[in-house]
Amino acid sequence: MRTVSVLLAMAVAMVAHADPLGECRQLEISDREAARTCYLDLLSNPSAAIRAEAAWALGNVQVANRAFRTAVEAAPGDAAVKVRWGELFLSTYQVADAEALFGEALAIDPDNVAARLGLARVALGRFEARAKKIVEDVLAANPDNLRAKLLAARLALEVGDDEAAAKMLEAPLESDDIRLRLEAMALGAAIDHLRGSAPSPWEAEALDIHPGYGELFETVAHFYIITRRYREAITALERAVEVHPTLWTAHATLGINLLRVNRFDEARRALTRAHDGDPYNVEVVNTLRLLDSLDGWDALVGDDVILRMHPDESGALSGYVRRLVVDAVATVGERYGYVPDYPVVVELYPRHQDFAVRTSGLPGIGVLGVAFGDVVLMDSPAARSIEEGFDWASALWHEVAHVITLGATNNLVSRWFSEGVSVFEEWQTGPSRFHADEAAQGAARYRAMPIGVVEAHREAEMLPVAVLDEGFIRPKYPGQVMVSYNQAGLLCEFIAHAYGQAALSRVLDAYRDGRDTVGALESALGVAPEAVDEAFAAYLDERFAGIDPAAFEAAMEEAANLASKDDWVAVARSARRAAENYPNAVGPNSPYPVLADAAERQGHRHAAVAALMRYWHAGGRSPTTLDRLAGWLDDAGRHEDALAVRRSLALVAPLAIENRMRLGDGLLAAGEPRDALQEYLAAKSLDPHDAADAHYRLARAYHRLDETADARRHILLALEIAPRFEDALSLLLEINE
Amino acid sequence: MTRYARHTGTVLAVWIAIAAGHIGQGAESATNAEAAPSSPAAPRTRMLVVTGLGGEAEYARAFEAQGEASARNAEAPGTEVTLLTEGDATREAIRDALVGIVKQSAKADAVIVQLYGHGTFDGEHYRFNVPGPDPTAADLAAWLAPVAARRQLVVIATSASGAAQEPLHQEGRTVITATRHGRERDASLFGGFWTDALDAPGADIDKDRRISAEEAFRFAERAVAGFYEDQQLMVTEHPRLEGDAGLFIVGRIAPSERVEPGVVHLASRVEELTNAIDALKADRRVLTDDDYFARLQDLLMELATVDQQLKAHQQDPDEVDAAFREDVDR
Repeated sequence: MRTVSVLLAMAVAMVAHADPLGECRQLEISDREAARTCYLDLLSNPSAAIRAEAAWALGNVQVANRAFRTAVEAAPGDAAVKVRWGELFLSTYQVADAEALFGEALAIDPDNVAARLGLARVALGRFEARAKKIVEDVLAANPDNLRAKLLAARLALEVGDDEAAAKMLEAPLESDDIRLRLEAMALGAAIDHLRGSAPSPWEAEALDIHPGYGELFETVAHFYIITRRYREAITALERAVEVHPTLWTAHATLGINLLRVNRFDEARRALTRAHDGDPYNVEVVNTLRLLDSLDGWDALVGDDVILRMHPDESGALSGYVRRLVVDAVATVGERYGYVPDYPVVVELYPRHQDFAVRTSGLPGIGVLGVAFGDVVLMDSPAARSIEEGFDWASALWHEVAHVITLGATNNLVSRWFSEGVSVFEEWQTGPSRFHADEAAQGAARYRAMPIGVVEAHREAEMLPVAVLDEGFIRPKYPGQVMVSYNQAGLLCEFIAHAYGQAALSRVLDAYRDGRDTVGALESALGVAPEAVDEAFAAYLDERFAGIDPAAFEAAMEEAANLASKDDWVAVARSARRAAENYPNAVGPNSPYPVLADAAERQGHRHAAVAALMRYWHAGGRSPTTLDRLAGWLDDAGRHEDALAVRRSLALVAPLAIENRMRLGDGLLAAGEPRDALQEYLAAKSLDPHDAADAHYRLARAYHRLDETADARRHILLALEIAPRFEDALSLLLEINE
Repeated sequence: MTRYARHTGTVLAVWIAIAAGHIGQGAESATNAEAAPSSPAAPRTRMLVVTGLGGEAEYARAFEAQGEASARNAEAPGTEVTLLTEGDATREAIRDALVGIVKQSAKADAVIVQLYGHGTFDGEHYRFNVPGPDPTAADLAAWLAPVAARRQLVVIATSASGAAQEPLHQEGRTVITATRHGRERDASLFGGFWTDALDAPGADIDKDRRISAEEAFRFAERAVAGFYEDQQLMVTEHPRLEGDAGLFIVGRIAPSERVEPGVVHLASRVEELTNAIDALKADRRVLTDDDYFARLQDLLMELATVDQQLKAHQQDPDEVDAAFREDVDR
């Protein structure tokens, strides 16, 4: 995409500096060697702007940069030179500098179309909604501007509107400017590929004109990538570098996408080539560094799951990850009629920066995790905690659901539906799923939605289902991605509610058969999307009935004030009112822990436990709160419930040694020594401060399992550290009886 | 000055827990298991605990709680404790308290000084913030210089306390500071975690039911690092230990128990076995794994058996005494 943008910009330059550069540009298409000689001659041109263009064309961006600076100093009022300088920055990934120069050009010449389109390209690269607005404005003022039409076509195709895109390409395809025509052909080829018609006739036609026009395949790959069809993207990128071996951006994108399908060795080779040719690509540099660091990671290969994890975490997490993936594949797979016959690859990143490097380039990616087909990448719980809102186990369930929907449709599923199913399955079948209170009425029967979602519905800000993808790819307001995720989940909930769970599978089938959202909904549900929107809105009216965010906030504030005065009877009353106005709220401002605290302080332990049980059943996962609940349940002799809560606690905060130890103790007491052993092993892998105690617990579990050799080994290790450890001495005698 | 009331006339507790090998003789009176009642010759531990200015109420409360916890936990093993809290903790009072310790302490004794509060470093001097003029690290070093006790521990749980390490350095003196150097100036968390360790079972790494300064330091050091990591904050303090902190007992997780005359032989055997285990661990490199663990198991099995006999004695002393007499008769 960047290269095509550069070509576009070069065309701008041809207009601005036509005479000296035109011949060289022309030769680039027909005779690269001659073009090179032509540019070399221009390096001694008296015009700094021309020297800059020549140096840039020859690949020496530093010389080009210096020459542009000279040119701007010589002619500070020349907007065109600033635009070209900005284009140079854009091509070297210095987007902020490029944006500033386009802005400076517009300050000189507010109607400068090239500068405005430059800003549009900046926004396009960042997947910002304003890209569309800028292009529309340019076209409104200049309806025949071909470069604007090309950008408009690209934008339309990114949200799957291939008809609008094709219409926008009509004029550029007739252009006398070969470069514009080539770019139009590339986009035309992308349309054909997305429609399932590959190879495209545009490929041969473009290569006829310009045999080294690898950018066409790079463009095709871009659209495969943003629709998550990485294998097809790789094929296109391989073709791109075949016809244009020095197209470094294509090498880079190839490397990154090879990683996405778990082809590490080939990825490293492609990225190394990209780096050799273009050392300024930060994405490539970061990814190569990441690959170096991954060399020391644990790779745990199984039939169902392949795990790649940091060695400090694999002992604590691998058991949970494997179990979650296997359970999710079985559960979600059964619900949607597709169980992959290949292993799911899961990589967990303890450093968020590494996760970001690994996943960069996907629009509207969100921040929790990503599924590249059968490869799932996520932050590990070390990168972000449950207190920061990251329920990693639920997020993993979500990503595995993507593996199902992507696999079931050969990656043809729309963004919103894939996200919708994943969110819906988190709610319905995931490890933090919602358990309804049987006696509840109205909104209390449902999982609570973030307030922003309720408000988006009430303020009619939710997008029609036919264009919901835009809410993920180019959000128009802060929080729209979050609203879109939840809207998609609610849509799936509504479809399952109104048409039955099987209807969701029928929608998937329709996508697999190549239908778009409109066609998929019509064929699977028998109604038009507009009718779905209407019925969905009515469903949400009922689902959100009685939710009063303002009253909730007021009641919570009141409870906090009353708590500071130790008026616990009134605190309980306020917290109950908060819960009535926003039932099942389990976020950081949940009324249930407040209610529990108030009840406990009044000596009503039973009520306190009931409040926290509702919190837990509603999906609340604060470790502090769950730990308190488990303790109370144990105190009340409800060991089975306590154990279940401890399982949740250990799952949401699996790197907390204490959680794993206590769960192990609970499991051992409940007669589940095998599971207890796994918890103790996990805790031991986290290098607990009290190593003797960790060995002692392992010895207890092994002893209960009659695995005497291991029991003896660990009790000796415990006593080696702490010979006076009385419990361990007793166990040693017991083991040796 | 608040004299921690219960220190005078403290009975020197003798524990069932015979001194673990790493506890040196005399570091704490209780380690001399057989030295039953208090005698003028018995080594003593004398401790000065000072809480400095809090500045804000929250800090003042925290420092006072830390001082109280230190005094409370140290009191049990028979240590003589002097506690100076914020209002009384002037430079003169600290000096006078140390002068008192100088007068009382003998070579075989141990002296422990613990400071909680805020500290500053001006590039040259570390100062402990108290009402009136602040004592410097050099002042503390000068006041401690005449102390006869060969074993000395200074714990400074304040910001910038790392700057006190060099002035306080002396052979036989262990110095623990909340920070690595004087440039770590933010309010320190170390003191809170250090005092948490004093009665935390998880800090008792060797399970002898006592918390050595080494164990408390390791516990607090880890907790400090964990806090900054969990909160994803820049680490503004790096606790520092110079010297052998294993020589000092600063807390316990169970009350000490007197060794009854009838089981002195068992207590002695426990000590012998514990020492033998330490010796075996020291020889581990020259043994094969199989040989090492076989020998370790033999020693531990005997230790476990003796331990059971001691426990049985607690439950039914007469029966065990009778069994012992039978053994002797035989």
